[in-house]
Amino acid sequence: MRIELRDIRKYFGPVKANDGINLVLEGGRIYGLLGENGAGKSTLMKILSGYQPPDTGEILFDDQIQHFSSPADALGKGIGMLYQDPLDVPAFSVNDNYLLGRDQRIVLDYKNASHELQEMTARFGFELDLQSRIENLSLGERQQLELARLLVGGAQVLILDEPTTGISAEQKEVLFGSMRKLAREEGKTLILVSHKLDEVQELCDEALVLQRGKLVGQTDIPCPNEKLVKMMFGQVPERSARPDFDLGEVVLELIDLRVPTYRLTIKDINLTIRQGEIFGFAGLEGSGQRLVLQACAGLLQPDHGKILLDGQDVSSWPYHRMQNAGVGYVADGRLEEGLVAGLTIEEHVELAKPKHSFFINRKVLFAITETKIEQFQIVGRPDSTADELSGGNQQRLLFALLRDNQKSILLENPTRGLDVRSSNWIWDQLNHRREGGTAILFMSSDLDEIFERSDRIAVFSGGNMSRVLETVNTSVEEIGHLIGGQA
Amino acid sequence: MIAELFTTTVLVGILASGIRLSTPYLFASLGETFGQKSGVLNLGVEGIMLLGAFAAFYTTFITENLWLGLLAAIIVGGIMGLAVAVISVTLKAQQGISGIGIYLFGLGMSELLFRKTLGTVEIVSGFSSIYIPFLSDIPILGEIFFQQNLLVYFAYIMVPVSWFVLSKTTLGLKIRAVGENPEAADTLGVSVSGVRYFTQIFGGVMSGIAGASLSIALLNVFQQNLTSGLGFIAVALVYFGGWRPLGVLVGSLIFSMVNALQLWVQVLNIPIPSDIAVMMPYVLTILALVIAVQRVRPPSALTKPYERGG
Repeated sequence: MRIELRDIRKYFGPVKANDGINLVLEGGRIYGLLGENGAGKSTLMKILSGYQPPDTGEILFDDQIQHFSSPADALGKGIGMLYQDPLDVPAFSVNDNYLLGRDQRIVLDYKNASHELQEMTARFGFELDLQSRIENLSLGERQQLELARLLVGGAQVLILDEPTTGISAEQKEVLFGSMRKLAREEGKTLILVSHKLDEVQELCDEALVLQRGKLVGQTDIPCPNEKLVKMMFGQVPERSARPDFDLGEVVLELIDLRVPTYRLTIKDINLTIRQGEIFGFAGLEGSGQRLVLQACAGLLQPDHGKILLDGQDVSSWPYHRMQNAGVGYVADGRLEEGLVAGLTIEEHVELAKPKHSFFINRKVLFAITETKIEQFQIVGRPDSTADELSGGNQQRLLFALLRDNQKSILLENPTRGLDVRSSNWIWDQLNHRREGGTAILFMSSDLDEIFERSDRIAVFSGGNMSRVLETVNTSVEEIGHLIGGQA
Repeated sequence: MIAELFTTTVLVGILASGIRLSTPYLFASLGETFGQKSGVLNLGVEGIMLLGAFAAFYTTFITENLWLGLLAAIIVGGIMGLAVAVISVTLKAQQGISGIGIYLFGLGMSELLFRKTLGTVEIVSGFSSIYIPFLSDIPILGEIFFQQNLLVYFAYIMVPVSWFVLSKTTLGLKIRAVGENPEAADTLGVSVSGVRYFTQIFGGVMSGIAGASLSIALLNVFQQNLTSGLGFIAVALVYFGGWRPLGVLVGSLIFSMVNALQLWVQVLNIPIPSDIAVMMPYVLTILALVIAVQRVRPPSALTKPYERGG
């Protein structure tokens, strides 16, 4: 099927999310859709998948004009979208989830569902337990299930939004394998939305680059990475270099630490972290790295072992005491754990103050907030609520709320979902902090980030921590092996 | 004196009236189960029951036709269910608060209508007992289970029917999906509002029948606040039953059995203060909820109005 987009425009108030996009997509090809945060990728894909209508412009399939009333309508006409967070029902069984919206008979046909699902999974080499509940599946498995459902639903065009975030290396291989199969053997059109250039290079036939709502580049793949980056940003932003730094005294010491949770228990964690050190935790989601960070922040209590902060035993200190002792924590659920959705920037600044008076001095608060907004380059006003900010600006706000002169800062996925420019800014801030002697501990699912930013690295796999690796003496390959649980 | 409770006649009597008294609980909480499964909490069940009870009683009193009475309760219940749907689904009101409004409306309105039309407590002859051939002749069991009125049988048939609809049919799947993840359901082409309107109207009808079962089958009278908190217990029973029809049945039976017991305690003049006896079901409600709440997870989207994102 040949798809044509003609002069697609979508404005949100003064923001031109899509500003006259013209595009032709042919069957049998894999397209990579690139662009920095806020370039209009998701808006365009939401329009194409029937989630929202364009303000003006036309969508044509094989020269026929199409109008979608809903995503279900779009799927009926052949366009399916795989969302970054799978649109499924966690409490459902695999079969129930598969049948939802598909089976229109009065009594559900479970036999047929199992049969169809088995066929699909076998065809694409998916490995998933069909008896399980959705909530017990991994992200990769849920993705495979969604893919199967879209294909059985008649998708000729598949849009995949950041599909490799949070899935294992094998699942990624299977996914890419099935994407190639769908394009080459079945003539389907695939659109990969991603900001990982390597993946686009590996998989796609052609790259489409959006910038500020306009299509600014279209090029065959393979082509040099620099060319793509230049199209995305207008210039090539350097990944800011990691300045060398002499480490100071020991700040944080973990001795034989054990933290039990109902899912996973981490044990025998021994670490020594010095002033100004950047320490990276690698590993698949849920391998235990987050638990270590949370234990250091006082959010989880270890049942064995010790945490020493400047030589003082702080194992049983709660979060607030740790905060006052100079340990800052930046969770990756920005709106879930870090910020309060309905509160304004100003109110966040007030709440984050170490001491409060009975009345809020609005004038002073306003002034402090304005300086913070300027200093941390947040796009927003003092009275913008946290949920109005973009992901990058929410992250900046979180950094603005961190107190000065921290002994240690703990971060979960500090640059998740951010483009190169925002990520660089975040790391500039952190590097600046380390020069003041702050120890930085962070976890990331982005291996390159771990490798480029850390002084030392520990890899987590199923609750076990590997030996500590010096970044200068290791390689991405070695870390990759350790992530997979191979020592 | 207590020993009088443990004669065969009395025990059979307690069990038979326990089965009978569970009818209003069953209707109301099965209806509410559908509603909550789809993510809408209707706290106004009690009010709808009162209106249903009055409509059934008054219609029967005037026309002397029980079926017209039942129909009146169904219609009034359906209209009230529609009102709940408009408030909770379309207007996206806070469900905890709007439910109290529905209850107070039902309480006041049924009392007003009662005063303006009947004025005094009257009696109708309600649905009479139906003896199921052969089964009702079985000693003890026959007397307990198979000599009940039509609405009792109907309530018990609704238990497996509700289970089947919720867990085996497309409609049930949609209801569950809308209660767990309305975004996903919407994207897959399920009408979130449509499903929730259906469950609310169905719940209203069931509450109406629950009221009718009191006024034209069990008690055969109408007076102000006839239901006296029964509708709230029905809502609690949905939690207690873990949003499953079978669980709701177990809960309903526990409460109605305790109720039957306290009635017989009063009938037999056993020297327990009647206030304490009457309190028993309510105390049990609180205890049961404390225990039950920790067992099962409610539908994720319960009480959350759905709005399609941009």
